[in-house]
Amino acid sequence: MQRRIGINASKCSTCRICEIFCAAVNTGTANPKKAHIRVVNMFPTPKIEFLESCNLCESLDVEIPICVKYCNRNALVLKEEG
Amino acid sequence: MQLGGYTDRNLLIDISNKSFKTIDWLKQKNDWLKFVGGRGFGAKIIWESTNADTDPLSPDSIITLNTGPLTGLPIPGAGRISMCAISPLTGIWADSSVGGAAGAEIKQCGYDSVIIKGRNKHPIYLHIHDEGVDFENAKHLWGKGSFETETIIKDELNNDARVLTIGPAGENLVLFACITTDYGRQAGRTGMGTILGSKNIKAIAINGTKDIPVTDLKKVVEITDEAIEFLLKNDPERYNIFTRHGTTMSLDWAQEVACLPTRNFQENVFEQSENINAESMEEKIKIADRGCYCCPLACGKLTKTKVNGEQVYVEGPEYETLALLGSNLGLGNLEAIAAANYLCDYYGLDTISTGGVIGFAIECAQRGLISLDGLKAEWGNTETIFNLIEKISYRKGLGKILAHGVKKAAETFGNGCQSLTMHVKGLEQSGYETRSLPGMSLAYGTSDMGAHHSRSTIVGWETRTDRFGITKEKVETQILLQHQRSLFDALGTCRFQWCECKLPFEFYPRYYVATTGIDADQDELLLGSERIFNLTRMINIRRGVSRKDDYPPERVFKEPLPSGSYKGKKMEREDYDRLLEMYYELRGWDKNGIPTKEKLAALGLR
Repeated sequence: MQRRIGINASKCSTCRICEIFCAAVNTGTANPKKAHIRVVNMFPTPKIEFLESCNLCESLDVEIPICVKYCNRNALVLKEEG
Repeated sequence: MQLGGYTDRNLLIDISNKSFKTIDWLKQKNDWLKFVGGRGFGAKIIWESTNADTDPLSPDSIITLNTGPLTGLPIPGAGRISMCAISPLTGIWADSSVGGAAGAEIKQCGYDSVIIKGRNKHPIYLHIHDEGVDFENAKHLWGKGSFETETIIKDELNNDARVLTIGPAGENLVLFACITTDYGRQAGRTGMGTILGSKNIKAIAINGTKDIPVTDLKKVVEITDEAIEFLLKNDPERYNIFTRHGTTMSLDWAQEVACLPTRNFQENVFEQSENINAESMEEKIKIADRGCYCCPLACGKLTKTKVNGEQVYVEGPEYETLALLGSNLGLGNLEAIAAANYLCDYYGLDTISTGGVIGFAIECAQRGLISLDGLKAEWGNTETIFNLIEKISYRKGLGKILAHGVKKAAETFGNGCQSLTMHVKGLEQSGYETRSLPGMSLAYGTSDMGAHHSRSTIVGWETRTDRFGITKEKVETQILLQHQRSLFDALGTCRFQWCECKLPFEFYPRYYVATTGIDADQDELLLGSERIFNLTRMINIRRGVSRKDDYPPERVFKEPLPSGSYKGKKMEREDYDRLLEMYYELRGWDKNGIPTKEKLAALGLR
């Protein structure tokens, strides 16, 4: 089973809750710049990028990656394929 | 020891000689903590750095960008900045708060507050970062609109900076020019953009990478998990409606309870309200949701419309803009309201004051008191509205006078125009008509910045309970609201999760304790908010404010409502005086509205 995160930037509200919680939970810091995901606030449609450092929160004891959990806009969706 | 929540440092920038320095305030920490943060820090700085004669547009004046202890943390809506200054529009205390994410960047640069003074000879923009400040040439940006400016600066800096910009209106010193960030969030009120314009600052880009100090991050995350669960489960219908429509959902409510400003506040119901309500927005122009920093509510609504035949995008209109540029101008066409919203954002004008000023001008012209530079004095006429927005922004023709706001414009026009102005203390009234709402009249009368609802929207409580009552309970509720709502601007986070989606207020003292490690309870934080409110009152008193200025616009007392469920109703002056006197007494202010020595001493202010 291959896991990946699907991105739908047109649904992104640019709130950066994904970045903020990724950093808080994965790095223990209040520093969204350390997150493994970036929301670039372009207008009118933002851009979402994952950094190479993202391991889909495998090192955490969580069912779904933190960014997916906190995104309530369906801009990030966990896909399990294969 | 550094506690969480605060960086214990402010940044002082002098534009005149392009210098900056860090002010460490750790040794005076107890003095600062009394003012919580955000607008409280702004009040402390303005009180200490200005006087009765400070000209808001002189090089000596300062503008402060203040974060709060919660700013930048994993807390819904915690990206806020409270901008504080002496307003060029009103001449008194002003704070204008903005969402988006720029506040988090200030914190990540390692500062609580940024203080800017001086004036540069040439247009510049500031780039604030971890190591300090760069002063960049902005000659190529002067004259450009807010959105374009933001994009150019982001491209030039090629980093994650958040950018605060002004448009041509700020450059041209229109007294109600705003500051825009994140392509559509504004510090709209009181002319903050005018102050930047007077200093020749086109924009401020902020890009920090430092960790934000926090005592117990895990606890903050836990509280937010609990808060989100509460928001989703407690009243899912309310949550869903608010996230879907944002503040536009208030339009139907304002129409129903009869407080929707219509045709320069002459009426409080609008016959075309259904054309401009939340459902119409969704159906006709909305394309996406926009949320501020860390906020799942996403109350911002991105829309599309056309300006001069070209498709444009704009975040909004939200409730206030629907009311002031819509019903208040007799305009029942959503695409046109969104276009007017776009123009205001592009030029950098406060949509509330702009709607107030244009409504005032149209009514004056209809009554034959002024002429509109050949434009038709007709409600809902888009040619008139769009042209006046441009004339104001560039101070052309009639715009030269209207650029000063309704109070000063009426003084220039004379001819009885003053009785048609809708303002308190020189600030144009926001989106609630109050002839049938004594409490909301008092809210506007006693707000420390003029006729704005940020300090209290008692209209909600009032319409649910005792609409016409002149009671002590109403005044007590008013004072509590003024402290509760203002506290969010001190903490550096948004109030909508609480006031719109019913997240219990108790969450915020918990956030404060987890963030700062300071064992403060709700009462102590509210006492801090009261202290700030008294300090802003003292700033105003130093600048000549007293009881005479604590009244709603004359129309509220003189003209009975001509239509709607409360037809014939107006506010009785003696009823208002009773409310005001109760208010002063409960606040510990004398009969002229001046805080007593005992009150100030009890708050530790003198």
